[in-house]
Parts: sequence; C-alpha cells; structure tokens
Amino acid sequence: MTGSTHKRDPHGGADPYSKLAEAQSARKRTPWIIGGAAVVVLILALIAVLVTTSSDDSSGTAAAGTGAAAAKDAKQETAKVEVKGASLVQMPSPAGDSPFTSASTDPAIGRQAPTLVGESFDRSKVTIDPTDGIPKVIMFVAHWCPHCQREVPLIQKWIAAGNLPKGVEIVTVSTAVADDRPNYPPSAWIAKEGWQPKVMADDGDGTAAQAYGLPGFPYFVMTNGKGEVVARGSGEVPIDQFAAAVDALAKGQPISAGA
Amino acid sequence: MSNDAVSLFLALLAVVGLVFVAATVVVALVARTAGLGPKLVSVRDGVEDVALPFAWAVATTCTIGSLYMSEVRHFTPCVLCWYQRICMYPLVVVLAIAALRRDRGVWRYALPLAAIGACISTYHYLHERFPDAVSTACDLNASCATVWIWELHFLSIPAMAWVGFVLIATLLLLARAADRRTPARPLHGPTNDPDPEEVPA
Repeated sequence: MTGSTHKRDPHGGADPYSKLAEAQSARKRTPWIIGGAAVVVLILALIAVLVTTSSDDSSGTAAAGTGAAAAKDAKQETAKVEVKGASLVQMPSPAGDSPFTSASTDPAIGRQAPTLVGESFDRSKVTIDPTDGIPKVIMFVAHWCPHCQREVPLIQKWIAAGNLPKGVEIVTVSTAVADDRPNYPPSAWIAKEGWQPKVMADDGDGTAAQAYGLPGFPYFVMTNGKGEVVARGSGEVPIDQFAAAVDALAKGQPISAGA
Repeated sequence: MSNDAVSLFLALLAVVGLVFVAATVVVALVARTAGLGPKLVSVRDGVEDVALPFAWAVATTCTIGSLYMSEVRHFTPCVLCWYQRICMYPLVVVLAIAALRRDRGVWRYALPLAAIGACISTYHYLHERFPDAVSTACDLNASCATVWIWELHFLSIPAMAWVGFVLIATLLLLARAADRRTPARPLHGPTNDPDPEEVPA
C-alpha cells in the first residue's frame, strides 16, 4: 500500500522538497554524463584513425597467367577494347526455370559472337576469340554488383576443385567500372578472390559488354568452338546449374536441356 | 580522417549504441522484476535527464553521416535509403525543439518516425544480406542490394541506420518513462494532457 501511495504522490513522499533535491542532483550529474559521452566519442574516433592507418593491404599469392595474377600487378582498371564482328542483340529474359536462354527465346543463339581484343589489368594483351575452336564461357562481371560478388567465389571454388571440363575455357570481362561504387578497384577484388580465368578490362563505355548484348550482371555467354552462341544467361546462377551448363557445353549438348 | 576511418568511426558509434540499447533493456527487465538499487536509480535518472539531447545528437549524427555518404563519398542513395532519410531528417528538428523545451511528450510524434525508419532499415539490411530474395541480377543502376560499406563483419549503412533509429526510440522511451514517473512540464507552458498519476485511484 505504501508503494502505491508513493506512486500516486507527485511529490514522491513526505518530503515535498525531495524532487527539488533530485533536480539539483540531476543538474550536477548532467555535465558528467555529457562529458563521459564526449570522451567515448573521442576515443572511438582515435581508435578508428589508428586502426585504419595501421592496416596494410595483404593479399595472397596468385598463380602466373591467371586473372588474379594480372590483377595483383594492376596498372589499369579499364582499357580500350576492339570489337571484331557484329554485335549481339540484348539478351531477352529466359523462359521457364532455366537461367539460360534457348533458341526459341533468344535470337542470338546460333549467331556468331564477336571477337574482343583488349588488355587485362596488368596491360597484358587479352583476346577473346570465340572462333579459336575452344568452347567458351564468357562471363561479364561488375565489381560493385553483390550478385557478382557472390557468384565469383562459387565458380572459383568449383574451378579449383577441378570441375571445369577439359576443352572448355572460362574468360571474364570486368565492366561497368566506377571508382565511386563499392568494392573498387575490380583488380583488388579479382586478386582477393584468386580468380583463375583470364580477365579483360572493358573500357569506360562498356564496349565489350554492349557488343555481347549485356542486360545485367553477372552475364554469361556460352559459345561453341565455331564461335556460335549456344546459350546466354544473366543473374546469379546456382553452381549446380552452372556446372550442368558447362558440362553440356563441353559435350556439345543443348544448354537449356542440360541446365 | 580518411574515408575508411570515418566508416569505422560510424560503425564503432553504432556498436556503442547497440550496447546502450542492450544495457537499457537489461536494466528495464531488472527494474520490472527485482527493482533497482539506489545507484542504478541514480544512473537511470541521469540518463533520462539527457535522453532528449542525446536523441537529438543521434539523429544529427545519422543525418550528417548520411549526407557524408552521398555528398562527400558520392554513394548513390537507393529508394530504401531515401525512405530512411525521410524518417531520420525531420527528427533533427523535432528533437532539437523538444530538447530545448524539455518536452518529454515529444515521443508521441518522434517515436512513430523512429519505429517506421527501423522497420525500413530492417528490410533494407535483409535485402542486402539476401539479395536473391528480391532479384538475382544487378542492373546498371545502384540497387538496394549494393553494399557500400561493410564494417566489423556485420554493419552496413542500413544496419547503422537501424541502430540509430532504435537508439532514438530507446532514448524517447526513457524520456517517456521519466515523464510518467515525474510529471514534468515543458518550460514554456503547460500541456493540456491529463497526468494519469494525478488522477485519484
């Protein structure tokens, strides 16, 4: 009962001046609380400055001739690209559950894919020639795209496990590079992921991406040894579907049925 | 301060904010069950005294941080970022006036904004963590799934915004609790609201 009486009493008990004393006490406490908060903020700022100035960029080693090796020795993030041959139309949305297009939905299927001549991050020459007799998966990635950031390590792990069929080549084009977007520069990202396939750096206008009809990221174009487009796909592809598509490409089977 | 240092600083502030919110929840639970000792009561009263200025400071920090991201670092705000800005930016003005007037009744107006902002931040963070749930591909424009900043393995921009909204909400609830315990009146005139503690039982 005493408690309830105390609760209803706006003066907090028998002493009508107790609230005044509390208010005076609070006024004494307030500078300490504000000062303490300011000290905490200053300490956090100091920690942030110290941590960021002492951290160094340590990336692992990369095998020679890989995209990661070229990225580790990066001298540029974009490079001039020369397109030889007719550009592909933009990829339409795939039908059904398959992430890849088929001949019934994609007018580029069966068309000749253009040859791209350009450079990698280390200025080494990179040529993507679909007519060189080797079936290819040409993969377009953007460093800032979260779907690319998720897909790249999955495929790298799959390659590192020895799953890439013999006679099939994966090549990559780093495009849509923007220094004001996350995960810049793309070379640091490629190096960090230990990405084995060769990487061509697209130019600032996305010439290579446009030549292949890119609709979004990541973007895959699969070509047979004669340079004909077999399938195209855009967006994150589950690794089992990607593996099935690459296996079908290696065997010369239709991709949509295999994926 | 470098850009990285600013990002880390904001993340550390968010961690301190999270710790404060967690501590407040624990103290509130203890108060409900076992009651608070005189020292904890003193600390609680002290924090409640500065709850409104601190809530204003949090809203101001979040607003400056948001403007720094877009105007200094040129991160393009996505649609969800804009919705969160709509909830956060007015709080700077509303809470400043409330802090100056010591108007603890401001929670009635500010708490809904903070709650809505926290809901949007939650959705935005989940969108970042599980981008496949909304889309499987990026278009050429900045999407809401783009993670511009990733600090301490769990803090992105919407996560920091979430902490800001929840911290403001917590401070407003503290101000509300103090308001209910001691019927304080704004310095510049009384309100017309009846005080439940003054109503006879």
